[in-house]
Amino acid sequence: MLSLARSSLRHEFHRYVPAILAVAFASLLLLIQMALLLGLFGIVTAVIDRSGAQIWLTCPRLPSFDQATDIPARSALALKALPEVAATEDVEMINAQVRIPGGAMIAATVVGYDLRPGGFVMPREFRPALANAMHMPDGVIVDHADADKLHAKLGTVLEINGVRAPVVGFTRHFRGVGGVYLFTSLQSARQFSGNGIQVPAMTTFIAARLHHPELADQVRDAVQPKSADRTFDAWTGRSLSRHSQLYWLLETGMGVGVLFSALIGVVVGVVITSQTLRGIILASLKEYATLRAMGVSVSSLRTIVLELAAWIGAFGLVVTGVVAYALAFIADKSSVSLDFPWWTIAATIVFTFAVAFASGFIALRVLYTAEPSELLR
Amino acid sequence: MQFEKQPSLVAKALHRGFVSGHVRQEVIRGLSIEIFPGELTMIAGPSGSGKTTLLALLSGLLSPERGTVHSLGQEIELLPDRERERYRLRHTGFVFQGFNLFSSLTAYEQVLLPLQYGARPDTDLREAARLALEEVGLLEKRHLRPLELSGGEKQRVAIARAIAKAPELLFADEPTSALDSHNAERIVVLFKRLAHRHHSSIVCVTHDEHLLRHADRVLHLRDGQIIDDKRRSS
Repeated sequence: MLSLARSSLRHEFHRYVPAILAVAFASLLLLIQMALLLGLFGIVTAVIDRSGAQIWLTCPRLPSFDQATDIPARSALALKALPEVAATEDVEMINAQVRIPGGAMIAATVVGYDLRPGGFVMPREFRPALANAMHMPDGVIVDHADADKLHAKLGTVLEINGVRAPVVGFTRHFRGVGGVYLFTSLQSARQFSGNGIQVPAMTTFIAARLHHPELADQVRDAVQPKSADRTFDAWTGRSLSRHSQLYWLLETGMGVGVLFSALIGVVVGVVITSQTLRGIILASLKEYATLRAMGVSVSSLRTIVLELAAWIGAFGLVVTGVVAYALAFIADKSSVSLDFPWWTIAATIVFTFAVAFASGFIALRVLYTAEPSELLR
Repeated sequence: MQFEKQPSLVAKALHRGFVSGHVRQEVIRGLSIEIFPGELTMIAGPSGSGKTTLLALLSGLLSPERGTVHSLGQEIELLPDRERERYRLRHTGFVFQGFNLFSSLTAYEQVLLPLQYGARPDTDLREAARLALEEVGLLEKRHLRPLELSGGEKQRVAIARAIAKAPELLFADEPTSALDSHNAERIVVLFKRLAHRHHSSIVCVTHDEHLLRHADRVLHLRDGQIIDDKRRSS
C-alpha cells in the first residue's frame, strides 16, 4: 500500500529534520537527566546494591542509607535465630573529616567491611587484591575519580578523624556525591570512629545472607520488631535501596528538577515539532483539499498526519539512542555515573511518541481548514 | 437528443450568495439546469458571472441556499456528511486550476493514492492507475515527480487522478488557465474523448472562448443566470 507519509519522508526528509531533532532533544533531556540522577542515587546505594546481602538491619525510621546511625550489635541475634539466615556481618559507616596532603579538609563517608573469608557484604570485585591491601592497619581504598580531589596516589597518607590512613588501592564506580567514599576494614573503620579495635556494642548495619535469597521478604517480616521503641528496622536490600533513592528523589528537590526540565523538554519538543508538521501540511493544503474533494475522509487524512508523527517519533528515538550511547561512553570515560535501567528506556520511548503524537494532534487542526470548496475560486 | 437520456445531474431553482463585508451579493439566481452523461458540458461567461459557484453547487462542494441538486438520482443536500463523502469517493472526480499534486509522489502514485481509499482490491487499483495514465498519454512518464513534469503534463496527471476511478461525474474548474493554448486544447479534446468513451458527464468551467468549439454543449452565464444553452453536434 502506498503511504503518503513514508513517501513524503523519503523524498523531503530535510523538511522533517527540525521536528526529528526537536523530539530527540526533548527525549534526550529526559533520558540523560534520569540516567544522571539514577547514576547519582546508585552511588548512594552502591554499598547495598553491590553487596551479597539480602537483609539489612538499620537504625529505626532511617530516612536514607547514607544517614544511618548506630544500632546495638546484639540485634544480630534476631537474625541468627532464623534457620533461613546463612550468615550475618557487621558493616560500619562513619562520616569523617579527612585531612589531605596540603592540609585541606574534605568530608568523607568511610565504609568498613569484614575482610574475613566468607564475608559477603564487600563488593566481589574488591577480592582478592583490594581486600588483601585493606588488611594493612588503617589502609583505605579510594575511587580513581576522587584521587585528584584527595591528592592521593598509592601510599599517600591521609588523616581521618586524626588517625593516619595510607591509601592502599583504587577502585571504580564509587565516586562520591559531594564528599568522597573511603573503603577500609571493619577494624580500621572502628579505629577512625574512635571506638578502638575491640568488638563494640554498637555498629552501623548488620547484613545477612540467606540460604534462599527469594525468601528475603519473609525473613524481613519475621525480624522486623513491631514496638514503637524498637532499636532497629529490618529491610530487604532492594527495599532499603529503593527507600533511599526515593528519599533523594522526593526530599532533596532533585526529582523536581528533573520533572521541570522534562517539562521544558516537552514544551520545546511539542512546539517545534507541531510547527514543523503544521508548515509541512500547510505547504500541501491544496493537495489535501483535493483529496477531500474526491471524497477522501478527514479521518483518512488524519491518519496520514499521525503516521508522519509516528515516523518523526521513531527517527527521533534513533537520534536519541545514538546520542545517548555516545554520551554514556563519554561519561564512562570521565567517571560520571549514568544509569539506564530498562524502565528509563521504556519511559523515554513512551515519552518520545507522546511528544510526537501530541505535536501531530496540534498540527492536525490546520488540516480541518482544507476545505475543498476553497479550491474553487 | 437529450430527451432520450436520463440526466445525471438535475439542478432546480438554485440560489446562492456571498457576504463580503456588509454587502451581500447574489451570485446564482434561481438557476435550473440538467446535465447529461456522455457529454462535455462547458460553462463560459465573464468573470463574476457565477461559473465557479455553479460548479461548486453542482458538485456538492457548496450547498445552495435555496433549490435542489439531484445527482445520480439522489439529493446531495440530504445526505449526511459521511454519506456525502462516500458519494464523492464513488462517483465524482475533480480537476482544479492548480494541479494540486503532492511533490513527493510520482505520477503513478498521484493517481494511485485516492484510489486506495475506495473499496477495490489492490491489484485492480494498480491496473486502474496504469490505464488512467495511459488514457492521458503519460504511461512512460509514470515514474516522474511534479518537478520533472511540464505544466500540461501535470494537468494530465491531475486528470488521470480524477478519472482513474471511472467517475460518472467529472468537474473541472478552469483546468487550462495555467497552460499554453496548445496544451489547453489538448486537455479539452481529452475531456471530450473521455466523456464519449466512458459515458460520463464532464462539466468544465472556462473563460477561454477558443476552447468552446470542442464542447458538446456550452452554457453561457451572466449575473448568475444561464443566458444561452447551445448544443453542438459532433
